[in-house]
Amino acid sequence: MNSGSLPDVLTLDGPNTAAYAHSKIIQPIDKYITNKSDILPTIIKQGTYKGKLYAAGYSESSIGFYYNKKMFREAGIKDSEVATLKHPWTWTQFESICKRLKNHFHEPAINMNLNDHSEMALYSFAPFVWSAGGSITNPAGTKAVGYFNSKQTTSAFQLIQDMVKNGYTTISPKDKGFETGKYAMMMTGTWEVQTLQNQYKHLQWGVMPYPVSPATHKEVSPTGSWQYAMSSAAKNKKAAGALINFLMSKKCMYRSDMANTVLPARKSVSKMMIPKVNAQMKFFIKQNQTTGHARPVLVNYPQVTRTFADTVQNVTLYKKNPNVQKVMNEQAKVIQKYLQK
Amino acid sequence: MQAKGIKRQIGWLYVFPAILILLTFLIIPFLMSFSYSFTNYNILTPWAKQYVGFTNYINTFKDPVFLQSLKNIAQFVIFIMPIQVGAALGLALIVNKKRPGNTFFKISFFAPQVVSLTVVSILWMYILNPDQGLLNGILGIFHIKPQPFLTSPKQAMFAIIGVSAWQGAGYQMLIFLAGLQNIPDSLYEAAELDGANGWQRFLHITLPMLKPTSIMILTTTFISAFNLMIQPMIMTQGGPQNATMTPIYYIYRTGFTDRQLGYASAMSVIYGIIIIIFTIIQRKITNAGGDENA
Repeated sequence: MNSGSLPDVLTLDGPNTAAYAHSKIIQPIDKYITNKSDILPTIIKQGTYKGKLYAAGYSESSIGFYYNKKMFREAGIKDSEVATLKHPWTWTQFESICKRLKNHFHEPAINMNLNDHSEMALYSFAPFVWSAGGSITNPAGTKAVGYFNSKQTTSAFQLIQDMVKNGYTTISPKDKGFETGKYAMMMTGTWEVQTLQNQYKHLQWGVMPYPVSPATHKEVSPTGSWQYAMSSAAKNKKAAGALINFLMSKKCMYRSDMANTVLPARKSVSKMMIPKVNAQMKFFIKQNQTTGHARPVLVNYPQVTRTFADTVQNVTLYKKNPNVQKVMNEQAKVIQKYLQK
Repeated sequence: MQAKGIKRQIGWLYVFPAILILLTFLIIPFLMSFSYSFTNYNILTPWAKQYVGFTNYINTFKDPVFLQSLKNIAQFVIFIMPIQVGAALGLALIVNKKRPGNTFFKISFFAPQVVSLTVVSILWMYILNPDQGLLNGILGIFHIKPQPFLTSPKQAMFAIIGVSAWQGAGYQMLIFLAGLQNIPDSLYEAAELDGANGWQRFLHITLPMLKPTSIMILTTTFISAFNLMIQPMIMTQGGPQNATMTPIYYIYRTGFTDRQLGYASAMSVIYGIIIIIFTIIQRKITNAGGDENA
């Protein structure tokens, strides 16, 4: 950037869109992308800043609630009780299943990566906030007070605290605890499918969707991944735009998404992929397209996501911070500092 | 006269490479950092930085995370010195006596030093895991209930102090060993003849004779303790609730993750001044001690 020698086309992760666009490192590519209506709305949202499309995502992502079929059976959980996209669990049902698993195995029921204070925190826990009808900021991304500490948002963080307090999950999960049969469930990304298929072939497992807020029954899952963009320094805009459009084309996207076992960013590509992928990937594609919600597009995303992760950690320290609303009020003020006026 | 002139020039030639390195990696970056501290330099927009006067400096003193990090590093420095140096001295005294397996123990105690700090941090994260870590397992044998260690705001910094002392003691043990071996046996023999017991011999011969070595080790531990960054970065990311945030880690994070290089530069200037002040104080104390002996 300093030497002005950025390439014409670059890739960037979803959350960095606003910062790069605001800093004028990348330029709008609206007019170069064809067949935009075929692109998933969550992908368009992720790459849009101040009404213009700055980046085009070439794959999508999701999180699933993996479960150990054998452990479920041992704990007396019937197949009919397992959550599906048509019949997801409410948070209440989720907690009661956790209670049965905990009482049977005397271990936390689920690994929710509470020891991971990176982007994973916002990525995996924001859907709970969104399901409850809460948000991190207002739609314009200028206010956090009144949004991050709203009753709805707070209810999601109360769930996290209750999960830890009741021993249904742990702040220090054992590495590979799910894969080795210690925890009956695990909340993690699509990459786990490969790990399980290659390294833990003997595990009988399935995947479930996100539990939903009992107040709204709204199904929400996270989205977002890497994108193509054009640097502001690009001299031959037509060529750069054409390259990005080519990379975003049906054929190209199908080949790269299949090869990397990632979710498609186009509806047409998903139609091509569904017959070719296994049941779990089918599930993820469906969950992603029917319940996916894009992460907020904010210039100071690194600070906001870190504050979100800090908030998760703070509420898990339930002895020190028993009043979740108080934590949310404090943290909303912290996030407010990082928002553009 | 001419010979002197040429000698001078040759002298400068010899020193030139070192000066070049100092300039490139120390002096010029410091001056650049100092100038950036008066701007709102965001690393994504280097061309757009504007002069903001002392704003960054004022904000540093109002920044609760920076102030907490100062408290944390003070806690670290105060505890690491007696613990690490004490452990180093203790280990040195143990391996100084001729015993079978001495070499094995010397190597084992020194071994943590050759492992990178990053690896040490990851290793200890596993050992300190509250649910199935080795340490809680061992404590359980003695009927001590499992400790939260890195997951507790109260214990986290102490856990990091312990890990750091574990890694650093081995090297200083070797230095103490050299110092111990320089103490003439005749002194000990004379003391024994005078009826001094082991503890008295330690107090009145070993410790005073080790004074220069101890001062050197305490000084180097003191200075390097201010640089703590890797262990909190890997083990706790500065948490829980900033209990293990250190100034260097916070400066790094503000400058590179949060992209606010101007603000980070101001913090680094302030922290640099703090370290310089403490170094001067510490030198005065040790020099005063040294003068007493002279």
